Amino acid sequence: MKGRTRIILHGRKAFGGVAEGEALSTTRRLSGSMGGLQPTGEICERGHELDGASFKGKILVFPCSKGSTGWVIAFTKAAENGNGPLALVTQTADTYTAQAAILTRTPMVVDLDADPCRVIATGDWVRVDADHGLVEIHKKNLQT
Amino acid sequence: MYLTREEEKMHSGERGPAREWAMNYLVAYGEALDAESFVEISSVGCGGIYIDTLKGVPRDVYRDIVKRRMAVPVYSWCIPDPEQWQEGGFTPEAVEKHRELNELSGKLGIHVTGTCANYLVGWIPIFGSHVASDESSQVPYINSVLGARSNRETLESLLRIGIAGRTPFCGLHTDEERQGNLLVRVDAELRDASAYAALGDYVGRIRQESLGVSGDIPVFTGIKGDVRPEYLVGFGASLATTGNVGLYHLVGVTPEARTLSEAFQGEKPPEAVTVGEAEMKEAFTQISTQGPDEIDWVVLGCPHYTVDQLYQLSKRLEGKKIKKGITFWVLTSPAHREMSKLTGILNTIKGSGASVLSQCWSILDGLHPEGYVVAATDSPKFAYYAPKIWRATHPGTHVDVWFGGMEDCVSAALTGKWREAT
Repeated sequence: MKGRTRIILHGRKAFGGVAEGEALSTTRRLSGSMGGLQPTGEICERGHELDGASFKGKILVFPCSKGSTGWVIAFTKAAENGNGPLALVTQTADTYTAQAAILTRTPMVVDLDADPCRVIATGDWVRVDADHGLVEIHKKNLQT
Repeated sequence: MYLTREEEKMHSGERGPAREWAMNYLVAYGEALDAESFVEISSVGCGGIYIDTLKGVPRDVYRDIVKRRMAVPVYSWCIPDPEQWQEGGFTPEAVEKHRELNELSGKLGIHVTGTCANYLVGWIPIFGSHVASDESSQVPYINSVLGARSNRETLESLLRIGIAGRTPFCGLHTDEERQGNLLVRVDAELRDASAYAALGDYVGRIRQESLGVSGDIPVFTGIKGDVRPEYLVGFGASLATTGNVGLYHLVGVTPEARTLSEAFQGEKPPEAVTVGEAEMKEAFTQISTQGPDEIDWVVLGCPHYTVDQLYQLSKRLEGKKIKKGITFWVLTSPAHREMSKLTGILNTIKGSGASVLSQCWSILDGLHPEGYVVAATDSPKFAYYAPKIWRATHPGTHVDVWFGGMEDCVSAALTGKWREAT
Protein backbone atom coordinates (compact mmCIF):
# COMPACT_ATOMS: atom_id res chain seq x y z
CA MET A 1 0.00 0.00 0.00
CA LYS A 2 3.09 2.20 -0.20
CA GLY A 3 2.54 5.54 -1.85
CA ARG A 4 -1.23 5.47 -1.45
CA THR A 5 -3.05 8.28 0.32
CA ARG A 6 -4.10 7.17 3.78
CA ILE A 7 -7.30 8.35 5.47
CA ILE A 8 -8.57 7.34 8.91
CA LEU A 9 -12.23 7.59 9.87
CA HIS A 10 -13.49 7.30 13.45
CA GLY A 11 -16.83 5.81 14.32
CA ARG A 12 -18.65 3.35 16.53
CA LYS A 13 -18.50 -0.42 16.78
CA ALA A 14 -21.75 -2.14 15.83
CA PHE A 15 -20.11 -5.56 15.95
CA GLY A 16 -16.50 -6.23 16.94
CA GLY A 17 -13.58 -7.72 15.03
CA VAL A 18 -10.81 -6.74 12.64
CA ALA A 19 -10.60 -7.30 8.88
CA GLU A 20 -8.88 -5.84 5.87
CA GLY A 21 -9.37 -6.08 2.15
CA GLU A 22 -10.56 -4.38 -0.98
CA ALA A 23 -13.66 -2.20 -0.76
CA LEU A 24 -16.89 -2.61 -2.67
CA SER A 25 -18.62 0.71 -2.19
CA THR A 26 -21.91 2.32 -3.15
CA THR A 27 -23.83 5.46 -2.24
CA ARG A 28 -27.08 3.57 -2.83
CA ARG A 29 -28.98 1.42 -0.35
CA LEU A 30 -28.89 -2.35 -0.74
CA SER A 31 -31.86 -4.65 -0.99
CA GLY A 32 -31.30 -8.15 0.31
CA SER A 33 -34.46 -10.15 0.60
CA MET A 34 -35.64 -12.71 -1.95
CA GLY A 35 -32.68 -12.68 -4.27
CA GLY A 36 -31.43 -9.13 -3.72
CA LEU A 37 -28.33 -10.65 -2.14
CA GLN A 38 -27.72 -14.00 -3.81
CA PRO A 39 -26.21 -16.97 -1.88
CA THR A 40 -23.17 -16.60 -4.16
CA GLY A 41 -22.53 -13.11 -2.77
CA GLU A 42 -23.82 -11.46 -5.91
CA ILE A 43 -25.85 -8.26 -5.63
CA CYS A 44 -28.92 -8.39 -7.80
CA GLU A 45 -31.03 -5.32 -8.49
CA ARG A 46 -32.11 -3.94 -11.83
CA GLY A 47 -30.70 -0.43 -12.24
CA HIS A 48 -28.44 -0.53 -9.13
CA GLU A 49 -24.82 0.54 -9.69
CA LEU A 50 -23.62 -2.69 -8.03
CA ASP A 51 -25.99 -4.99 -9.96
CA GLY A 52 -23.98 -8.12 -10.74
CA ALA A 53 -21.05 -7.26 -8.43
CA SER A 54 -19.98 -9.72 -5.71
CA PHE A 55 -19.32 -8.73 -2.09
CA LYS A 56 -17.56 -12.03 -1.36
CA GLY A 57 -14.31 -11.33 0.47
CA LYS A 58 -14.79 -7.56 0.24
CA ILE A 59 -15.20 -4.73 2.72
CA LEU A 60 -18.80 -3.81 1.89
CA VAL A 61 -19.52 -0.08 2.16
CA PHE A 62 -23.11 1.18 1.74
CA PRO A 63 -25.53 3.61 3.41
CA CYS A 64 -28.06 1.15 4.87
CA SER A 65 -30.47 -1.64 4.00
CA LYS A 66 -33.82 -1.38 2.29
CA GLY A 67 -36.65 -3.70 1.35
CA SER A 68 -38.28 -6.70 2.90
CA THR A 69 -37.34 -8.31 6.19
CA GLY A 70 -35.74 -11.37 4.60
CA TRP A 71 -32.57 -9.25 4.27
CA VAL A 72 -30.88 -10.99 7.17
CA ILE A 73 -31.75 -14.49 5.91
CA ALA A 74 -30.26 -13.69 2.49
CA PHE A 75 -27.09 -12.21 3.97
CA THR A 76 -26.64 -15.09 6.41
CA LYS A 77 -27.04 -17.64 3.64
CA ALA A 78 -24.30 -16.02 1.58
CA ALA A 79 -22.02 -15.94 4.64
CA GLU A 80 -22.76 -19.60 5.49
CA ASN A 81 -21.71 -20.51 1.96
CA GLY A 82 -18.40 -18.74 2.53
CA ASN A 83 -19.47 -15.89 0.26
CA GLY A 84 -19.96 -13.14 2.82
CA PRO A 85 -18.06 -9.86 3.01
CA LEU A 86 -15.08 -9.43 5.36
CA ALA A 87 -16.61 -6.43 7.11
CA LEU A 88 -19.49 -3.97 6.89
CA VAL A 89 -19.11 -0.21 6.91
CA THR A 90 -22.43 1.67 6.83
CA GLN A 91 -23.59 5.21 7.58
CA THR A 92 -25.67 4.06 10.57
CA ALA A 93 -26.75 0.70 11.94
CA ASP A 94 -30.25 -0.40 11.09
CA THR A 95 -32.22 -3.40 12.28
CA TYR A 96 -31.23 -5.59 9.33
CA THR A 97 -27.56 -4.72 9.01
CA ALA A 98 -27.00 -4.95 12.78
CA GLN A 99 -28.49 -8.43 12.93
CA ALA A 100 -26.68 -9.56 9.79
CA ALA A 101 -23.38 -8.63 11.47
CA ILE A 102 -24.29 -10.29 14.79
CA LEU A 103 -25.49 -13.56 13.26
CA THR A 104 -22.50 -13.94 10.93
CA ARG A 105 -19.96 -12.38 13.34
CA THR A 106 -18.92 -9.89 10.68
CA PRO A 107 -17.10 -6.80 11.99
CA MET A 108 -19.18 -3.67 11.47
CA VAL A 109 -18.45 0.02 11.99
CA VAL A 110 -21.03 2.82 11.80
CA ASP A 111 -21.57 6.51 12.68
CA LEU A 112 -18.22 7.60 11.20
CA ASP A 113 -16.98 11.19 11.22
CA ALA A 114 -17.29 11.38 7.42
CA ASP A 115 -19.61 9.65 4.97
CA PRO A 116 -17.87 6.33 4.23
CA CYS A 117 -19.84 5.90 0.99
CA ARG A 118 -18.25 9.07 -0.41
CA VAL A 119 -14.77 8.69 1.10
CA ILE A 120 -14.29 5.02 0.20
CA ALA A 121 -14.32 4.01 -3.46
CA THR A 122 -14.55 0.51 -4.87
CA GLY A 123 -11.02 -0.85 -5.12
CA ASP A 124 -9.59 1.10 -2.18
CA TRP A 125 -7.73 -1.00 0.38
CA VAL A 126 -9.54 -0.76 3.73
CA ARG A 127 -8.66 -1.95 7.22
CA VAL A 128 -11.60 -2.15 9.64
CA ASP A 129 -10.85 -2.26 13.36
CA ALA A 130 -14.39 -2.48 14.65
CA ASP A 131 -13.32 -2.93 18.27
CA HIS A 132 -11.90 0.59 18.22
CA GLY A 133 -14.39 2.00 15.71
CA LEU A 134 -11.61 2.71 13.19
CA VAL A 135 -11.62 2.52 9.41
CA GLU A 136 -8.28 3.02 7.67
CA ILE A 137 -8.43 3.70 3.95
CA HIS A 138 -5.63 3.48 1.40
CA LYS A 139 -6.92 5.23 -1.70
CA LYS A 140 -6.48 3.49 -5.02
CA ASN A 141 -6.81 6.72 -6.99
CA LEU A 142 -5.90 10.13 -5.64
CA GLN A 143 -8.72 11.74 -7.59
CA THR A 144 -11.55 9.85 -5.99
CA MET B 1 -27.09 -0.83 27.83
CA TYR B 2 -29.21 -0.37 30.95
CA LEU B 3 -30.90 -3.57 32.13
CA THR B 4 -33.65 -3.71 34.75
CA ARG B 5 -33.25 -6.22 37.56
CA GLU B 6 -35.58 -8.63 35.77
CA GLU B 7 -33.66 -8.21 32.53
CA GLU B 8 -30.41 -8.91 34.37
CA LYS B 9 -31.90 -12.12 35.73
CA MET B 10 -32.95 -13.17 32.24
CA HIS B 11 -29.55 -12.26 30.83
CA SER B 12 -27.64 -14.15 33.51
CA GLY B 13 -29.64 -17.34 33.04
CA GLU B 14 -31.67 -17.15 36.26
CA ARG B 15 -34.87 -17.28 34.20
CA GLY B 16 -33.79 -20.36 32.25
CA PRO B 17 -31.74 -21.03 29.12
CA ALA B 18 -34.33 -19.71 26.65
CA ARG B 19 -34.48 -16.21 28.15
CA GLU B 20 -30.71 -16.16 28.55
CA TRP B 21 -30.26 -17.13 24.91
CA ALA B 22 -32.77 -14.51 23.77
CA MET B 23 -31.28 -11.74 25.92
CA ASN B 24 -27.72 -12.46 24.74
CA TYR B 25 -28.84 -11.69 21.23
CA LEU B 26 -31.04 -8.75 22.15
CA VAL B 27 -28.31 -7.05 24.19
CA ALA B 28 -25.88 -7.34 21.25
CA TYR B 29 -28.67 -6.08 18.97
CA GLY B 30 -29.49 -3.16 21.26
CA GLU B 31 -25.82 -2.20 21.54
CA ALA B 32 -25.38 -2.35 17.76
CA LEU B 33 -28.37 0.00 17.41
CA ASP B 34 -27.01 2.26 20.19
CA ALA B 35 -30.17 1.76 22.28
CA GLU B 36 -29.92 2.67 25.95
CA SER B 37 -32.59 0.32 27.29
CA PHE B 38 -35.33 -2.16 26.42
CA VAL B 39 -39.06 -1.64 26.09
CA GLU B 40 -41.60 -4.29 27.02
CA ILE B 41 -43.88 -5.30 24.18
CA SER B 42 -47.43 -6.64 24.30
CA SER B 43 -47.47 -8.91 21.25
CA VAL B 44 -45.58 -10.10 18.20
CA GLY B 45 -46.90 -10.13 14.62
CA CYS B 46 -44.80 -12.25 12.33
CA GLY B 47 -45.25 -12.28 8.57
CA GLY B 48 -43.00 -15.28 8.19
CA ILE B 49 -43.18 -18.81 9.51
CA TYR B 50 -42.36 -18.13 13.14
CA ILE B 51 -42.30 -21.72 14.28
CA ASP B 52 -39.71 -22.58 11.62
CA THR B 53 -37.16 -20.39 13.39
CA LEU B 54 -37.30 -22.75 16.37
CA LYS B 55 -35.57 -25.46 14.34
CA GLY B 56 -32.11 -23.97 14.64
CA VAL B 57 -32.07 -23.20 18.37
CA PRO B 58 -29.89 -25.20 20.85
CA ARG B 59 -31.68 -28.20 22.40
CA ASP B 60 -31.76 -26.92 25.99
CA VAL B 61 -33.16 -23.60 24.75
CA TYR B 62 -35.81 -25.41 22.73
CA ARG B 63 -36.88 -27.53 25.71
CA ASP B 64 -37.09 -24.42 27.86
CA ILE B 65 -39.25 -22.62 25.28
CA VAL B 66 -41.65 -25.57 25.25
CA LYS B 67 -41.69 -25.55 29.06
CA ARG B 68 -42.09 -21.81 29.69
CA ARG B 69 -43.77 -20.80 26.39
CA MET B 70 -43.61 -17.39 24.75
CA ALA B 71 -43.64 -14.28 26.93
CA VAL B 72 -46.37 -12.60 24.85
CA PRO B 73 -48.98 -13.69 22.27
CA VAL B 74 -47.44 -14.29 18.85
CA TYR B 75 -49.41 -14.12 15.59
CA SER B 76 -47.84 -15.81 12.62
CA TRP B 77 -48.51 -17.78 9.51
CA CYS B 78 -47.66 -21.28 8.53
CA ILE B 79 -47.72 -22.95 5.16
CA PRO B 80 -49.31 -24.74 3.48
CA ASP B 81 -53.05 -24.95 3.96
CA PRO B 82 -53.56 -28.72 4.32
CA GLU B 83 -56.73 -28.51 2.22
CA GLN B 84 -55.00 -26.96 -0.74
CA TRP B 85 -51.61 -28.56 -0.77
CA GLN B 86 -51.99 -30.22 -4.16
CA GLU B 87 -53.13 -27.07 -5.87
CA GLY B 88 -50.29 -25.27 -4.12
CA GLY B 89 -47.68 -27.73 -5.34
CA PHE B 90 -46.62 -29.07 -1.93
CA THR B 91 -45.51 -32.60 -1.13
CA PRO B 92 -47.38 -34.71 1.46
CA GLU B 93 -44.18 -34.60 3.56
CA ALA B 94 -44.26 -30.80 3.64
CA VAL B 95 -47.90 -30.88 4.68
CA GLU B 96 -47.19 -33.36 7.47
CA LYS B 97 -44.24 -31.36 8.72
CA HIS B 98 -46.34 -28.22 8.88
CA ARG B 99 -49.22 -29.99 10.60
CA GLU B 100 -46.81 -30.91 13.39
CA LEU B 101 -45.46 -27.36 13.52
CA ASN B 102 -49.00 -25.97 13.72
CA GLU B 103 -49.75 -28.25 16.67
CA LEU B 104 -46.58 -27.15 18.44
CA SER B 105 -47.53 -23.51 17.75
CA GLY B 106 -50.83 -24.10 19.50
CA LYS B 107 -49.05 -25.39 22.59
CA LEU B 108 -46.69 -22.40 22.80
CA GLY B 109 -49.18 -19.57 22.28
CA ILE B 110 -48.17 -18.91 18.69
CA HIS B 111 -51.42 -18.24 16.83
CA VAL B 112 -51.38 -19.35 13.21
CA THR B 113 -53.33 -16.80 11.18
CA GLY B 114 -52.03 -18.21 7.94
CA THR B 115 -51.17 -14.83 6.49
CA CYS B 116 -48.40 -12.27 6.18
CA ALA B 117 -50.99 -9.60 7.00
CA ASN B 118 -51.83 -10.68 10.56
CA TYR B 119 -53.37 -7.24 11.19
CA LEU B 120 -56.19 -8.03 8.76
CA VAL B 121 -57.15 -11.18 10.59
CA GLY B 122 -56.77 -11.07 14.33
CA TRP B 123 -53.69 -9.18 15.42
CA ILE B 124 -54.94 -5.68 16.13
CA PRO B 125 -52.47 -3.75 18.29
CA ILE B 126 -53.73 -0.72 20.19
CA PHE B 127 -52.72 2.85 19.32
CA GLY B 128 -49.49 3.81 21.06
CA SER B 129 -48.71 0.29 22.26
CA HIS B 130 -45.27 -1.25 21.80
CA VAL B 131 -45.24 -4.41 19.71
CA ALA B 132 -42.77 -6.19 17.43
CA SER B 133 -43.36 -6.95 13.79
CA ASP B 134 -41.68 -7.83 10.53
CA GLU B 135 -42.83 -7.98 6.89
CA SER B 136 -43.12 -5.17 4.37
CA SER B 137 -46.88 -4.50 4.50
CA GLN B 138 -47.26 -5.23 8.18
CA VAL B 139 -44.71 -2.89 9.80
CA PRO B 140 -45.92 0.24 7.94
CA TYR B 141 -49.60 -0.63 8.48
CA ILE B 142 -49.48 -1.18 12.22
CA ASN B 143 -47.23 1.86 12.73
CA SER B 144 -48.92 4.28 10.36
CA VAL B 145 -52.58 3.26 10.25
CA LEU B 146 -53.04 1.71 13.70
CA GLY B 147 -50.46 3.89 15.47
CA ALA B 148 -48.82 0.97 17.30
CA ARG B 149 -45.02 1.02 17.55
CA SER B 150 -42.52 -1.39 16.04
CA ASN B 151 -39.19 -1.21 14.29
CA ARG B 152 -38.60 -3.27 11.17
CA GLU B 153 -37.89 -6.55 12.92
CA THR B 154 -36.88 -9.83 11.32
CA LEU B 155 -37.73 -13.51 11.86
CA GLU B 156 -34.52 -13.83 13.88
CA SER B 157 -35.22 -10.92 16.22
CA LEU B 158 -38.94 -11.74 16.56
CA LEU B 159 -38.14 -15.19 17.95
CA ARG B 160 -35.93 -13.68 20.67
CA ILE B 161 -38.33 -10.79 21.32
CA GLY B 162 -41.24 -13.24 21.69
CA ILE B 163 -39.27 -15.24 24.26
CA ALA B 164 -37.97 -12.23 26.23
CA GLY B 165 -41.05 -10.00 25.79
CA ARG B 166 -38.94 -6.92 25.03
CA THR B 167 -37.00 -5.21 22.29
CA PRO B 168 -34.38 -2.43 22.16
CA PHE B 169 -36.00 0.94 22.89
CA CYS B 170 -35.03 3.05 19.92
CA GLY B 171 -36.21 4.14 16.47
CA LEU B 172 -39.97 3.95 15.94
CA HIS B 173 -40.60 3.05 19.60
CA THR B 174 -39.66 6.58 20.66
CA ASP B 175 -41.84 9.70 20.26
CA GLU B 176 -39.15 11.83 18.62
CA GLU B 177 -38.20 9.29 15.98
CA ARG B 178 -41.76 9.11 14.65
CA GLN B 179 -41.41 12.61 13.25
CA GLY B 180 -41.66 12.88 9.45
CA ASN B 181 -38.40 13.41 7.54
CA LEU B 182 -39.60 13.66 3.94
CA LEU B 183 -42.52 15.69 2.54
CA VAL B 184 -44.37 14.46 -0.53
CA ARG B 185 -47.06 16.57 -2.17
CA VAL B 186 -49.38 14.36 -4.20
CA ASP B 187 -50.79 16.23 -7.16
CA ALA B 188 -52.33 13.29 -9.00
CA GLU B 189 -55.52 11.32 -8.84
CA LEU B 190 -55.06 7.99 -7.06
CA ARG B 191 -57.81 6.08 -8.82
CA ASP B 192 -57.41 2.63 -7.23
CA ALA B 193 -55.20 0.39 -5.10
CA SER B 194 -52.59 0.08 -7.86
CA ALA B 195 -52.11 3.87 -7.93
CA TYR B 196 -51.37 3.87 -4.19
CA ALA B 197 -49.03 0.92 -4.70
CA ALA B 198 -47.20 2.69 -7.53
CA LEU B 199 -46.91 5.88 -5.46
CA GLY B 200 -45.36 3.89 -2.61
CA ASP B 201 -42.88 2.21 -4.95
CA TYR B 202 -41.89 5.62 -6.39
CA VAL B 203 -41.45 7.38 -3.04
CA GLY B 204 -39.51 4.46 -1.53
CA ARG B 205 -36.81 5.03 -4.16
CA ILE B 206 -36.25 8.74 -3.40
CA ARG B 207 -33.83 8.65 -0.47
CA GLN B 208 -30.56 6.72 -0.62
CA GLU B 209 -28.79 7.88 2.52
CA SER B 210 -29.40 6.23 5.89
CA LEU B 211 -31.86 7.91 8.22
CA GLY B 212 -31.08 5.73 11.21
CA VAL B 213 -33.10 2.97 12.84
CA SER B 214 -36.45 4.64 12.01
CA GLY B 215 -35.59 4.98 8.33
CA ASP B 216 -37.59 7.17 5.97
CA ILE B 217 -40.76 8.65 7.41
CA PRO B 218 -42.51 10.19 4.41
CA VAL B 219 -45.37 12.60 5.03
CA PHE B 220 -47.95 12.87 2.26
CA THR B 221 -50.25 15.79 1.56
CA GLY B 222 -52.92 15.98 -1.13
CA ILE B 223 -54.38 12.49 -0.54
CA LYS B 224 -58.09 12.99 -1.11
CA GLY B 225 -61.29 11.02 -1.15
CA ASP B 226 -62.08 7.57 0.08
CA VAL B 227 -58.86 5.98 1.40
CA ARG B 228 -59.61 2.30 1.89
CA PRO B 229 -57.61 0.02 4.17
CA GLU B 230 -56.78 -2.15 1.15
CA TYR B 231 -55.14 0.82 -0.57
CA LEU B 232 -52.85 1.30 2.41
CA VAL B 233 -51.98 -2.39 2.67
CA GLY B 234 -50.37 -2.31 -0.77
CA PHE B 235 -49.08 1.25 -0.31
CA GLY B 236 -47.01 0.30 2.76
CA ALA B 237 -45.74 -2.89 1.13
CA SER B 238 -44.48 -0.88 -1.84
CA LEU B 239 -42.83 1.81 0.29
CA ALA B 240 -41.06 -0.89 2.31
CA THR B 241 -39.95 -2.78 -0.81
CA THR B 242 -38.04 -0.04 -2.61
CA GLY B 243 -37.35 2.00 0.54
CA ASN B 244 -36.32 1.75 4.15
CA VAL B 245 -39.77 2.52 5.54
CA GLY B 246 -41.59 1.39 8.69
CA LEU B 247 -43.83 4.45 9.15
CA TYR B 248 -45.49 7.07 6.97
CA HIS B 249 -48.01 9.79 7.67
CA LEU B 250 -50.96 10.79 5.44
CA VAL B 251 -51.98 14.26 6.56
CA GLY B 252 -55.65 14.29 7.49
CA VAL B 253 -55.90 10.50 7.26
CA THR B 254 -53.56 8.63 9.61
CA PRO B 255 -53.75 9.13 13.39
CA GLU B 256 -50.40 10.79 14.08
CA ALA B 257 -50.87 13.33 11.27
CA ARG B 258 -54.14 15.16 11.85
CA THR B 259 -52.25 18.21 10.57
CA LEU B 260 -49.01 18.79 8.67
CA SER B 261 -47.56 20.36 11.80
CA GLU B 262 -48.37 17.30 13.89
CA ALA B 263 -46.64 15.02 11.35
CA PHE B 264 -43.45 17.06 11.75
CA GLN B 265 -43.99 17.50 15.51
CA GLY B 266 -44.18 21.28 15.18
CA GLU B 267 -40.92 21.63 13.25
CA LYS B 268 -40.64 23.25 9.84
CA PRO B 269 -41.26 20.64 7.13
CA PRO B 270 -38.54 20.07 4.53
CA GLU B 271 -39.07 21.22 0.95
CA ALA B 272 -41.73 19.09 -0.70
CA VAL B 273 -41.16 16.56 -3.45
CA THR B 274 -44.13 16.77 -5.83
CA VAL B 275 -45.63 13.67 -7.41
CA GLY B 276 -47.88 14.70 -10.28
CA GLU B 277 -49.43 12.79 -13.17
CA ALA B 278 -46.07 12.61 -15.03
CA GLU B 279 -44.31 11.09 -12.02
CA MET B 280 -47.18 8.64 -11.53
CA LYS B 281 -46.81 7.53 -15.14
CA GLU B 282 -43.08 7.02 -14.59
CA ALA B 283 -43.86 5.13 -11.38
CA PHE B 284 -46.08 2.65 -13.23
CA THR B 285 -43.60 2.22 -16.08
CA GLN B 286 -40.50 1.56 -13.99
CA ILE B 287 -42.14 -1.24 -12.01
CA SER B 288 -42.62 -3.40 -15.12
CA THR B 289 -39.61 -5.09 -16.74
CA GLN B 290 -41.08 -4.22 -20.17
CA GLY B 291 -40.75 -7.71 -21.67
CA PRO B 292 -42.97 -9.32 -24.33
CA ASP B 293 -46.72 -8.73 -23.93
CA GLU B 294 -47.81 -12.40 -24.16
CA ILE B 295 -48.85 -13.33 -20.61
CA ASP B 296 -48.37 -16.78 -18.99
CA TRP B 297 -49.11 -16.06 -15.37
CA VAL B 298 -51.24 -13.65 -13.35
CA VAL B 299 -50.53 -13.06 -9.66
CA LEU B 300 -52.89 -11.06 -7.46
CA GLY B 301 -52.90 -10.82 -3.68
CA CYS B 302 -49.37 -9.85 -2.62
CA PRO B 303 -50.01 -8.76 0.16
CA HIS B 304 -52.93 -11.12 0.69
CA TYR B 305 -56.29 -10.01 -0.69
CA THR B 306 -59.14 -9.16 1.65
CA VAL B 307 -62.68 -10.44 1.14
CA ASP B 308 -63.64 -7.13 -0.45
CA GLN B 309 -60.82 -7.44 -2.99
CA LEU B 310 -61.98 -10.99 -3.70
CA TYR B 311 -65.47 -9.57 -4.23
CA GLN B 312 -64.18 -6.89 -6.65
CA LEU B 313 -62.33 -9.59 -8.53
CA SER B 314 -65.36 -11.89 -8.68
CA LYS B 315 -67.39 -9.08 -10.30
CA ARG B 316 -64.79 -8.83 -13.06
CA LEU B 317 -64.53 -12.59 -13.60
CA GLU B 318 -68.23 -13.48 -13.35
CA GLY B 319 -69.28 -15.67 -16.29
CA LYS B 320 -65.86 -15.36 -17.94
CA LYS B 321 -63.09 -17.85 -18.64
CA ILE B 322 -59.40 -17.29 -18.24
CA LYS B 323 -57.56 -17.94 -21.49
CA LYS B 324 -56.26 -21.48 -21.82
CA GLY B 325 -52.64 -21.90 -20.81
CA ILE B 326 -52.63 -19.00 -18.37
CA THR B 327 -52.05 -19.67 -14.69
CA PHE B 328 -54.07 -17.31 -12.50
CA TRP B 329 -53.30 -17.11 -8.78
CA VAL B 330 -55.17 -15.14 -6.19
CA LEU B 331 -53.52 -15.20 -2.79
CA THR B 332 -55.43 -14.57 0.42
CA SER B 333 -55.64 -15.54 4.07
CA PRO B 334 -57.64 -18.56 5.31
CA ALA B 335 -60.10 -16.26 7.13
CA HIS B 336 -60.86 -14.11 4.10
CA ARG B 337 -61.02 -17.14 1.82
CA GLU B 338 -63.56 -18.66 4.20
CA MET B 339 -65.66 -15.48 4.16
CA SER B 340 -65.63 -15.49 0.37
CA LYS B 341 -66.75 -19.12 0.40
CA LEU B 342 -69.82 -18.35 2.54
CA THR B 343 -71.22 -15.85 0.07
CA GLY B 344 -70.36 -17.63 -3.18
CA ILE B 345 -67.60 -15.22 -4.19
CA LEU B 346 -65.04 -18.00 -4.08
CA ASN B 347 -66.99 -20.19 -6.48
CA THR B 348 -67.43 -17.35 -8.93
CA ILE B 349 -63.69 -16.74 -9.03
CA LYS B 350 -62.87 -20.43 -9.26
CA GLY B 351 -65.46 -20.85 -12.03
CA SER B 352 -63.31 -18.66 -14.25
CA GLY B 353 -60.39 -21.04 -13.85
CA ALA B 354 -58.46 -19.01 -11.25
CA SER B 355 -56.86 -20.61 -8.18
CA VAL B 356 -57.62 -18.94 -4.85
CA LEU B 357 -54.77 -19.98 -2.58
CA SER B 358 -54.65 -19.23 1.10
CA GLN B 359 -51.61 -19.45 3.37
CA CYS B 360 -49.41 -19.13 0.32
CA TRP B 361 -47.21 -16.36 -0.83
CA SER B 362 -46.49 -15.66 -4.45
CA ILE B 363 -42.86 -16.63 -4.17
CA LEU B 364 -42.20 -19.94 -2.48
CA ASP B 365 -40.73 -23.37 -2.84
CA GLY B 366 -43.84 -25.36 -3.63
CA LEU B 367 -44.98 -23.05 -6.37
CA HIS B 368 -42.59 -21.66 -8.89
CA PRO B 369 -42.53 -20.96 -12.60
CA GLU B 370 -40.27 -22.89 -14.93
CA GLY B 371 -38.34 -21.60 -17.92
CA TYR B 372 -39.19 -18.23 -19.34
CA VAL B 373 -42.38 -16.75 -17.92
CA VAL B 374 -44.18 -13.43 -18.39
CA ALA B 375 -46.28 -12.45 -15.39
CA ALA B 376 -48.92 -9.79 -14.80
CA THR B 377 -49.53 -8.46 -11.30
CA ASP B 378 -51.09 -5.64 -9.30
CA SER B 379 -48.25 -5.85 -6.76
CA PRO B 380 -45.07 -3.77 -7.12
CA LYS B 381 -43.56 -5.95 -4.40
CA PHE B 382 -44.05 -9.09 -6.49
CA ALA B 383 -42.76 -7.26 -9.58
CA TYR B 384 -39.64 -6.21 -7.68
CA TYR B 385 -38.72 -9.62 -6.28
CA ALA B 386 -40.02 -12.12 -8.84
CA PRO B 387 -37.32 -11.56 -11.48
CA LYS B 388 -34.54 -12.41 -9.02
CA ILE B 389 -35.89 -14.78 -6.39
CA TRP B 390 -35.39 -18.02 -8.32
CA ARG B 391 -32.08 -17.04 -9.86
CA ALA B 392 -30.06 -19.15 -7.40
CA THR B 393 -32.56 -21.90 -6.54
CA HIS B 394 -34.06 -22.59 -9.99
CA PRO B 395 -31.47 -21.78 -12.65
CA GLY B 396 -33.07 -21.39 -16.07
CA THR B 397 -36.11 -19.63 -14.65
CA HIS B 398 -36.51 -16.12 -15.98
CA VAL B 399 -39.46 -13.94 -15.09
CA ASP B 400 -40.58 -10.74 -16.80
CA VAL B 401 -43.34 -8.77 -15.08
CA TRP B 402 -46.07 -6.32 -16.08
CA PHE B 403 -47.63 -4.16 -13.39
CA GLY B 404 -51.09 -2.61 -13.46
CA GLY B 405 -54.45 -2.56 -11.71
CA MET B 406 -56.75 -5.50 -11.02
CA GLU B 407 -58.67 -4.53 -14.17
CA ASP B 408 -55.53 -4.71 -16.34
CA CYS B 409 -54.55 -8.07 -14.86
CA VAL B 410 -58.00 -9.56 -15.46
CA SER B 411 -58.00 -8.26 -19.02
CA ALA B 412 -54.57 -9.86 -19.58
CA ALA B 413 -55.86 -13.16 -18.17
CA LEU B 414 -58.88 -13.17 -20.49
CA THR B 415 -57.07 -12.12 -23.68
CA GLY B 416 -53.56 -13.44 -23.03
CA LYS B 417 -52.09 -10.03 -23.82
CA TRP B 418 -50.90 -7.16 -21.67
CA ARG B 419 -52.38 -3.83 -22.62
CA GLU B 420 -51.40 -0.67 -20.83
CA ALA B 421 -54.23 1.11 -19.11
CA THR B 422 -55.13 4.34 -20.88
